[in-house]
Amino acid sequence: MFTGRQHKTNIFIGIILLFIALPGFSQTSASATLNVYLADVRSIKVNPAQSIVTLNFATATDYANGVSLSQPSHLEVTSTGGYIVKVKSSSSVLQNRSEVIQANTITLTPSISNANGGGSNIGGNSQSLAADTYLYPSKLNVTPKIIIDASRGSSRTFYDVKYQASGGAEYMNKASGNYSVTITYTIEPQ
Amino acid sequence: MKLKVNRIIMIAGSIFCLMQSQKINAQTTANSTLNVVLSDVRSIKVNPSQTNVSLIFANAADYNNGVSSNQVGHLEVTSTGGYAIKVKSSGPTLVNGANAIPVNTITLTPTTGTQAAPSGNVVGISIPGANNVQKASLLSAILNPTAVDFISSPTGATKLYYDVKYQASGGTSYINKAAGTYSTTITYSIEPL
Repeated sequence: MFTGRQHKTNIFIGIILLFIALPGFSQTSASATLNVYLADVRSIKVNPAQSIVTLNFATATDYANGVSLSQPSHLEVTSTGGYIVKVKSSSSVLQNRSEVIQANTITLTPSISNANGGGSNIGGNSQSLAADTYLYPSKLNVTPKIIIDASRGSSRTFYDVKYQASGGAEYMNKASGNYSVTITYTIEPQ
Repeated sequence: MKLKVNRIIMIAGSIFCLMQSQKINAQTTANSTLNVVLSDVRSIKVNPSQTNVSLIFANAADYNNGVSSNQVGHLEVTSTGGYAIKVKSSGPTLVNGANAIPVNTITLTPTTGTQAAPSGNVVGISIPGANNVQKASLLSAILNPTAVDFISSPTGATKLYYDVKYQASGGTSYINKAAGTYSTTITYSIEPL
């Protein structure tokens, strides 16, 4: 009963279905390239809650022995490689109007903060931070002085800094009041 | 008179036969069979404009907190039935010459697409109700050279898009490394559930 025309129609439908069914078999996996780009970074921050450090001389003992104050987790360092931290003052003196105290009577002493988990295993790749790092107490000076020298980089390493004013003669016969100076920490490649 | 009647009957019979035979010759319907052939199909594609995904570490916060990038409409999936998608890396590390970062510091997180894909297709357009999408199980995958489970769906869909967030942890594994580009190839595969 089929005419020639009907046969043609059936063949045509068959071909269309074949094309619809085939392409899906091919792509059962797909790929992307992931690129992680690392740039050299060195960063140092003073704990925002400790941007003003005050040494208060209130008693005879303070003037005789000096006053010190430890600032826990004072500096936060992130560095992708070995680094040096230096410190300097904006002036050779702490100023109170026309009166001054010599800045070199102030000693800054860095130490590895307990915030790092006891100072171990945070230097990266199971290296001890203490083993990688040299710490130098430094008298305040307008010339930058090295206080931290780390052979390996680390992410979020904290240092405590003890600020110590000597007291003694330099602090006698001065007007009472607030003597100030700005201290700047810098980080650079080792 | 009788002859006349016979002739009339004969003529009438002839006309009837003629009509009958014409009815047979004028067949106006014919049947053909339509076969719709369904094959099991599973297909996955990475958006062609997102075949390179970059995570850039440029400042201290990047190294401390990590870096992530969400790729919208990243995967296009068509499957005639339930499916599972797995993901793997080409090796255990991202490589930059002699330097390497472990791939297990990279986490991939799938989410059901919420925006139109770049081709202009509406995400999930052909899914009867977004129910199919919601039934899919989405798992964050820590990158590994062995394929790990990523997405599984008990029902199929056509042209369904998934976003993928690429996240690098930062921290110790990214410190004391040479600056530069560390790469690996990530492969997504689809299989029957």
